[in-house]
Amino acid sequence: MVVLPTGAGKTHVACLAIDDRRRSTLVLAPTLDLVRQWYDVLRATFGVPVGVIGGGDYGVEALTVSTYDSAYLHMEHLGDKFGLLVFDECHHLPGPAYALAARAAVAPFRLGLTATPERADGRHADFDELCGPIVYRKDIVDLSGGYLAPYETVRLTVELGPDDRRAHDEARALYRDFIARNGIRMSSPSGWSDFIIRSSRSDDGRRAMAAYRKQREIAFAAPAKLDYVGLLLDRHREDRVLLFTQDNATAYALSRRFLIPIITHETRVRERSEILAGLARGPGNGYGAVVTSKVLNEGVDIPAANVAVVVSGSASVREHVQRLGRILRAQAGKHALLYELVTVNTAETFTSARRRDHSAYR
Amino acid sequence: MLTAELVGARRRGGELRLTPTDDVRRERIATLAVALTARARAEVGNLRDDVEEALRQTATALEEGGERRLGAAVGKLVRDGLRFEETAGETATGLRRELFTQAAAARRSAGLAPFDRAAFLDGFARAHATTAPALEAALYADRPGAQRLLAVEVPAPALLAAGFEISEAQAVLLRATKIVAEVEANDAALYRRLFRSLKFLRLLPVITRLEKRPGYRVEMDGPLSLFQGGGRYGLSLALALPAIAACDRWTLDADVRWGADRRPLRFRLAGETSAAIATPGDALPDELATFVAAFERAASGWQIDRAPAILDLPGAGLCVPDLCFVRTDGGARVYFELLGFWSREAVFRRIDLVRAGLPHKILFAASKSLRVGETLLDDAPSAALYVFTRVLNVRTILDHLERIAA
Repeated sequence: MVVLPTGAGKTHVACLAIDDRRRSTLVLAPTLDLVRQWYDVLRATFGVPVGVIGGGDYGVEALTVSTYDSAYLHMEHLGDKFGLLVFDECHHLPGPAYALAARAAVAPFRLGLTATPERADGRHADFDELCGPIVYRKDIVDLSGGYLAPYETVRLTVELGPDDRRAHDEARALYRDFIARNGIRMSSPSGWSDFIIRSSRSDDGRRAMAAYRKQREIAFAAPAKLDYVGLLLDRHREDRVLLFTQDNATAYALSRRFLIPIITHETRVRERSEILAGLARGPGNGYGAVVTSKVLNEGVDIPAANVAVVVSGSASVREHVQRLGRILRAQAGKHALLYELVTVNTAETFTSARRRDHSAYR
Repeated sequence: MLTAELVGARRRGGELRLTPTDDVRRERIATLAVALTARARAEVGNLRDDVEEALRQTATALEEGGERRLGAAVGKLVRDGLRFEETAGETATGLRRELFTQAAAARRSAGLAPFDRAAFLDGFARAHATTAPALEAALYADRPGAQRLLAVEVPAPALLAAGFEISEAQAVLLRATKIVAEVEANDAALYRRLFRSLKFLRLLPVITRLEKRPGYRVEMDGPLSLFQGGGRYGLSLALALPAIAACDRWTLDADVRWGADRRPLRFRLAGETSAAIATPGDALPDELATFVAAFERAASGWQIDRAPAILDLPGAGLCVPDLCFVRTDGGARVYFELLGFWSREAVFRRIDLVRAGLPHKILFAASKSLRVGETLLDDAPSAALYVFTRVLNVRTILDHLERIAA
């Protein structure tokens, strides 16, 4: 397994490995966007027909690219056909269905590629069995300023207004009281599922779940935070800005308020391609900013983007590192900048601290 | 259709059992359906997001001790009967493209001044002979949540309650990897309808006659049922239930993987009165309908019978052809069954049937992904196996028909 940040050349490593082993090769990627990117690279690099499995295609060649989902569905027929497997974004691999695809294949040679191997569920321990141990690792800080654009991260804190503060604190107290009374430890691996199960069994629980959601919504979309986004968009009016949110509601609110395009799971493929092309052209005759919830977290190549604003997010280190990775692809004169907006004295303070627990943020 | 989390079911040893639906529960379901349908009718003309919220609130208000799941389940069946407007996505997409591009340019050209959203929107609206509020409303009019409710086409509450147990069973079968059903019908047309429905769902059942009483045993599974993660065919298996339940007497025995841990459990169900539930009838699956259209465009000298007889070879099994080709000049008949890409085992069972002496001319079509060779039936004068890559080729099938009919 090779661990390299986004933009550092993982695809190039895979091409070298394919050339070195000279075996029939199946490349697995998590999304159709990535399958298309791999198809283009393999065609251009090796000049041979490349098979595609997924998104309605089923073509098997000596070089074939597939989504993990399609490989899982077809591995009964594919498992004995390839000598080398390349697992792109291989942190997905230890999931039950995807792991099945790896186990059902006989390929003796396997290459896993990722920027973020660690999994919150601890299943990264399965990598050894599924695709082998980490043999090479470089993190963002090792490559920044060379293979990757130099970057800076800025953490900005905002305050809630008095009414929002009162509503937030009341909701948070109600939710905290419920989990304390029920002995739920949210920091334990089963804490969240315990909360979901217990909250569904009583009126008290359902009120606690509603309160949990309310205090999160207030923290995620605090008015002061959205005002700050306006200031940042004006400040970076010449740049290409990616705004990340934790939920679609906030993303749509930002799109409407600042009149910028949005990409969510609801966005059709054609519009999504147009939006990314518009961002590449920039604010002169395209777009200066795009807001998204989670769909651009990983994989999609957006070399022109140089500013990221994390308006809200989860506590996942992987998500936060992947979001930073979107703006780090090196270009002449590029200096990347990531802003993180945090509402103080809310759960976001803790969430932010957890997701920044990575060398890229130290 | 209900989903697994909406089903009241408990494990008993290695078996999964549904919460029994007695008359009291059925009456409660009907009461919930009446209230939720009435609320939905009151929401006609409103946006999907608002309709969904209104139904959620109504279900919560109607809750009686511990029946939240029941309310949510009835709500889901009511929501399945709501018809929303189809919005013209292209109009909203085009508006967004133009508005956002101009907004980016306006922000850039504002120099050091903050972007004035209101002024920009007013200017854009004037240039397009509309108003800023109208623009705001149109900007995301293509989102599903912004679609308006046009009509409420929910079954009558009593009918919804009567079919509730079947709906719950369907949700369980979404997690099925294998089903064995035994069916009895007083009218042969019910069997025909069942077998056609299974074909429409692209299921390739193994059908045999029951030994000690009239009726059939129908086995259905998918190739991945061998693997722990199997579940790919659950939807087709679930959709097969109404066709089974339409028979006069039936039992069903299913292997399901239930719960977060996908624990293997047995699920059993039986019925004695035929359920009045819609089935696909004699419709053809898309790939077959496309082929039939192409075949009928070609001047081939053959006509297609879309409802051929079921071929029975006592002691060996049944074959349910999809089509029968009938030669226009002499009346020669060649049956046709599409074996698709599902089950390699099904291909070998058909070959066994031919070798056991199936007294009909027949052509089977199997996908290349099943890894079977056309030579398997080289020694059969009245049958052939056509292995296709992606779509059924009219010319190749005609060649096979002429050879078999000769």
